[in-house]
Amino acid sequence: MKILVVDDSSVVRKEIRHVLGHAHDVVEARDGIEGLQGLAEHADIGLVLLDINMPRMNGIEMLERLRAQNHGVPVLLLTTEGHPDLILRARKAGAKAWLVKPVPHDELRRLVDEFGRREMGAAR
Amino acid sequence: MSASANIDDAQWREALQTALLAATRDVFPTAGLEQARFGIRTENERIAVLSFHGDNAEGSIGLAVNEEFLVQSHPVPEILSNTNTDELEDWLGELLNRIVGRLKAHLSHQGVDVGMGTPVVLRGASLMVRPQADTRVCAYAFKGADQAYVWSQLRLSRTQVTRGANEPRYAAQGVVIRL
Repeated sequence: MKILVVDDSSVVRKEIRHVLGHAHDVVEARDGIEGLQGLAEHADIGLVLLDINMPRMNGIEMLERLRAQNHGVPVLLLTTEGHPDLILRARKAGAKAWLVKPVPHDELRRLVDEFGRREMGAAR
Repeated sequence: MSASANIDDAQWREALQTALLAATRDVFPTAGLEQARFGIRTENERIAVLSFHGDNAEGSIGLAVNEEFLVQSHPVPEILSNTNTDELEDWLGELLNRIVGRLKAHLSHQGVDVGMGTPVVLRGASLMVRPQADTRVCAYAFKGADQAYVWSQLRLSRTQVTRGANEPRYAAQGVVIRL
């Protein structure tokens, strides 16, 4: 599966590539604007891991723009944030899960497999 | 918010100290921390600072740690190059982001909601952090680590600050919420 990782931290992107890169094709973006561009350029992206606090365009804005475009790619938010209002906003915008950093690597692999499988099953 | 009570200065100082300590322990669960005198001088060459703000409070939080501490705090230290300055600074900013994320959650339990900016990493041969006027300050040193500190300054607005009895609960670190 091709996974888009949107995070302004290069070290976090590198860590996720290290954790998921053996089993998946990882594409990186540094903010919401690059994330939207990445989705436009890679039609086969099956899952998005999305940070919230980023310059230029944050993760919630990117998620809401995706939904305004009726883009159905599953999105897992991976963030240091945990405010209930933000979680509700993400839920309304159709995010599949909210993960508060740091997430254990085994758990991240399991969730990516779970949501990736679920979406691939739904697409059949 | 339901029933609420005013928070006085002493309670504020205690709330900030408690929140900063808890937030730092969330991010560095094995680190020993001891209260430090504010007015930090460090030879670490780089520190990260991040501002936060809310309806009734604003402030900043800072983190100064050396390169060895930085590399060892990474979940996969072998992928972090200790000679790549950009990577080390990026990781320093990310660690501070995580502390602030937890600080927000702990402050929320005291009735204060704040938004945060993005971390700024400062470089210098010798850096001195001084308290600003009218701020509540607190600082902790990491035991066993050379010149490693976390600190926070907080200024209250003139608006009456209240502590809610039933503040919304933040999601805790490591939690997965299925939406």
